[in-house]
Amino acid sequence: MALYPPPAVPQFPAGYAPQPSDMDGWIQSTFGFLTNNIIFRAEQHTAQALTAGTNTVIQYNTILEDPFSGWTGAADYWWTAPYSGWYEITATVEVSTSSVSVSSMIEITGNITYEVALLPTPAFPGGCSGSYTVYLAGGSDYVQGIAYSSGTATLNSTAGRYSALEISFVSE
Amino acid sequence: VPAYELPEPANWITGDLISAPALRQQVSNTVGFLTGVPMFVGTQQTTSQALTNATGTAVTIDTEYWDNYNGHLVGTDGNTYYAMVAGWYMVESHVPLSYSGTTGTVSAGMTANSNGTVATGWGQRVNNCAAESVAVSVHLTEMVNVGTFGSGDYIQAYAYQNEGATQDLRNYLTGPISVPYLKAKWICANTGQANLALPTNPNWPSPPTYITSAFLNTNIQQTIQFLAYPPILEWHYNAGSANLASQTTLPTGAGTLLGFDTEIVDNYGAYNTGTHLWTAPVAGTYYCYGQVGITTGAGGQAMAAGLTVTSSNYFGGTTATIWGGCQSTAASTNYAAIVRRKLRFNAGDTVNLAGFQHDSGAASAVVEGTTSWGTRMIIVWVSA
Repeated sequence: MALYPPPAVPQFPAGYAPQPSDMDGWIQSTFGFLTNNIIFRAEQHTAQALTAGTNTVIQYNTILEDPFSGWTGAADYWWTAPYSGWYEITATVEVSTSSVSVSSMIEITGNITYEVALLPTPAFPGGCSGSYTVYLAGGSDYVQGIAYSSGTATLNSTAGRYSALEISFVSE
Repeated sequence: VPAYELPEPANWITGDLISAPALRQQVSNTVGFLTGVPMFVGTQQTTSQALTNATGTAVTIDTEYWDNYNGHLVGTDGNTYYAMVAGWYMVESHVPLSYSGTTGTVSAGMTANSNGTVATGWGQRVNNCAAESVAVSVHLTEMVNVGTFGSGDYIQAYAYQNEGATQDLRNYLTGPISVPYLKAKWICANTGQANLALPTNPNWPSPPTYITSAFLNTNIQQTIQFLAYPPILEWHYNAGSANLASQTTLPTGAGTLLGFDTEIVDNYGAYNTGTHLWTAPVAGTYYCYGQVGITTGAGGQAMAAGLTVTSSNYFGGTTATIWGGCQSTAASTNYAAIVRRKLRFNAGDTVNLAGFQHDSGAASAVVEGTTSWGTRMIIVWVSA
């Protein structure tokens, strides 16, 4: 799949004889970006431990989609925006521990944390999911998924119950 | 306010001049509009709004982060985003409650004026807890009467709590930021050409190959049509008469299928009311949201919403459910649990909503329809 950066609006100058490469830049790459959005999807398949009452960076170990190669693994576990713009971030936290309160959070560049969901779990594997749309500076701002549990807990390692971080570009 | 409007996709005819004005009208407008679609992102963080017990309330948004079409003002109608451009919008919200007791519930929702009809739809409803619960909501809504601040179609975030007395929304700005949040984003035109193939965006021809009308119609007209009118879906279950049996464990295979009877939007006709399956019309990554609304029995303890998928991308191709995680429930109460994921599908893969609930007396729960906390599914194409 070809990758294209967020485009400027093409101007199509009058009185100019375009080459095929000009048309590729004005049309193929602009529509190409709108068709092939910037996407990142990751899951944590390991039973990562959560300390009671502490915000914990989720160490996603399965990168499902990252065409723009924004992911940095151990020991950072963050995704860096390849280009500046508004990004929709969805974070899901799933634990295998019962009867705790669980929160899903998104941390931006290590210094701003947004809590996007929180609920009490029953005597079953619980979890929650939330979303936030933020502006990220390309090449510098990065995103981490954060889990909180009111009691000692572990992230769920059963298929279909994984914690996840999903990011898509929404606007320049 | 951006100057670009989606064009009426032109049909190119052999002999047409490929002029700069025509390309600007078609391509520049499309790129300009779709790279900066109408979107509002705002929060409430300067005042903690009081919520009257058991009363749905519009959430005042006092801080704007993005409003590129000026559909919102802080102060005047501060709880309302007026749509400036017609189309389908995805509305996401969440509401944190500043209450650390365990009595009652909190819920997030949306009220919209859609073409003159005002209605409130509720999202997740969860029990309150000592850590202070946060409920979330996702809706699609069609904006038709647009373009004037203060009148016409609009969107509001809604909040509800029933602790028994008035409780405030939470405005925490230190530590994790935990504030009421509203996002409304244009996602699709109201009308358009459906059932198109994914654009392939090939290189432009080099001599001696020449540009044909067929090339232009495939790679400009149909590409604009697809991008302006991508596959979106929201279906509801309105009958409210089904039962969801109690289960002792959350299934590891496929969960109990829940079907829908009322289409809100399904522009590619991708949902089958016989099988209750959504079939991916084109390959890509999709935003998927499922919500299960039930009224618990006397022994209600837990519930969850899930998305049952049949795709080679998941579970080795075996049909199984991606769960949203269980939430606690109490007796004889109308709750809603949600699942929200971005998932990649191949054309032909299927998805259905699944529900789970556990009752200590093994009693069934009622799957809710048009009551406050109902059952629905949203799927929106995001990327090839």
